[in-house]
Amino acid sequence: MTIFWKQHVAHYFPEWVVGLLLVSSIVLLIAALLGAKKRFFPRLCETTYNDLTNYLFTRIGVLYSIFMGFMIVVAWQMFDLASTHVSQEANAIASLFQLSKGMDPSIDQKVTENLKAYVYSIIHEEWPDLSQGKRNDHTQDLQSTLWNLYDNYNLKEEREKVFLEKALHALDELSYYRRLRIMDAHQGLDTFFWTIILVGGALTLLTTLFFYSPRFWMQVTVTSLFFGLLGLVIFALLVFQYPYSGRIKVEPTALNTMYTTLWGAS
Amino acid sequence: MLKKLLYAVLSIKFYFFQKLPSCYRTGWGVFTGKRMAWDQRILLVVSNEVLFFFVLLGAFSLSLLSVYVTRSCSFSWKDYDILENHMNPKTTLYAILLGFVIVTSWQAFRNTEHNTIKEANTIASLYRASQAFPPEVQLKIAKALVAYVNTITDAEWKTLRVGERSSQTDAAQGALWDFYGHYTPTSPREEAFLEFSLRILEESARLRALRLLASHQHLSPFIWTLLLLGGAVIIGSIWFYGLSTPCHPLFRALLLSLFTALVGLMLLLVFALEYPFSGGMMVSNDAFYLLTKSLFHSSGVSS
Repeated sequence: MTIFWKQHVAHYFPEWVVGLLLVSSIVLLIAALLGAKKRFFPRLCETTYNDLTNYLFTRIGVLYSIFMGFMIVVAWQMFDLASTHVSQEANAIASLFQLSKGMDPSIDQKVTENLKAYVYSIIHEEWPDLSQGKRNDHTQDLQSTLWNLYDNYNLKEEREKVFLEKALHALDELSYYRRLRIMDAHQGLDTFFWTIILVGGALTLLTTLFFYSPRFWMQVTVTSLFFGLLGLVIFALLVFQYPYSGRIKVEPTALNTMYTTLWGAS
Repeated sequence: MLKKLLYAVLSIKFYFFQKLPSCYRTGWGVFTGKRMAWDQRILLVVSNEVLFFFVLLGAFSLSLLSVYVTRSCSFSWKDYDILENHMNPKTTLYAILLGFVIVTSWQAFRNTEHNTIKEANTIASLYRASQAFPPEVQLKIAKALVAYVNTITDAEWKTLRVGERSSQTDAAQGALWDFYGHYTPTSPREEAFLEFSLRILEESARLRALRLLASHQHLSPFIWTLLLLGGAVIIGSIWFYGLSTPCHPLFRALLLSLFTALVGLMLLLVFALEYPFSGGMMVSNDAFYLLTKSLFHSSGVSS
């Protein structure tokens, strides 16, 4: 599986370092560009461009800011949805646990033991692997064992048929949410999305270069304030797009709670 | 002369048609008579990178042209006031509309992605449930599932690009239905597993139908008209601004092209998201490949 550089950044560096680096590099870039403009394009340093630039910047600013606002919503939805998927997975596991009680004690005991090991493996083995977009082979094996238990079980009573059907359904749900969790772990925003976000930001930044202020540092400060905020928005996108990487991530809280409720502290 | 021109146009079209793989050709509406949206055709032959480059180039050319066209227009500050007061709320409205369309398209794209994962999961569940049947039945189911998954990844993913289903996948799915339809369970356990498998197969067929639907569903032409017309009005309004101030034409064109390019790139994003199985930005079939690799391969039925 491909691990993107963005995921590497989110995995190895604390969020505040990435945020600080991003914002400070944007400020430095603005200062460098405005300095370069003053030195190499002195004709651009004329007040005559301010009216036209102001008119255009208002439009570009509105367009890009609203776009970025929506992007944050998209990334937040991805994060929120990942969290919902974990809750649904925990719910499917709990259902499987309860359904096994309706069956013969011999299979109930096996399912309960295996389910306990499976949940423990998700929390302690698979969760760290998810931060790098990987699944855990041991967890996979434990899931297969669960399927095998039901595949090889011979019904003792007619009544058990209903429970078996329901249990198979819960197993299917459980597998689906796990598959979704693994996919969520390594599918961030598409590269094309990032291209539009970054090129759009660059176009907005270029527009501000046409502004002229006789006080250089004043212009750098004002421009930096706007783009610093934009940097923070981009940083938020980086944080939210991989819901299982970095320090701000979806935690196995729902699974932990379920484990504690069913089997005591993990 | 007209005949020669028509012949030349048709020859060029035929040349590009021949360059396309056969699965694309079947969807090439002009030649097969089947309807395919014009924008989906563009996504088939032009990559996102090329479109991206064309948007930037087009924005600059359009801005240069606008500077040339409006060179003799004379505007007073009063005109600018009117223009500014009118265009500010319109730009905001347009930006919100564009934002909503992008988010809606992205959500539809993600939904299709999730449905694909769910579909792959149904096949995994079918395979796992098959382990409850006798060994010879297990082998038959496994072979039928492998054939089905292979046609999805190899054939149907290509036909989806033109919004069509694959007849090979239809046949493989039909074989699965046939098998389960004719199987007589020999024990209550098998009965339970057969019932479960049938329900999962039904779910798999439903998800496939949704996938096929998503491959040719597109934004309403009305929304596209609104987006394009709105964009034209917003871009057109900036052409007339700043004409009274002395400004180098190239600088003016550059400044105008920045805004035009931003609008163009956002429209390009909507365009790229419109068809989840066509173009450079498409739903991947990783979930099915992963299935072949992990589940079928480990049990020795992958080929």
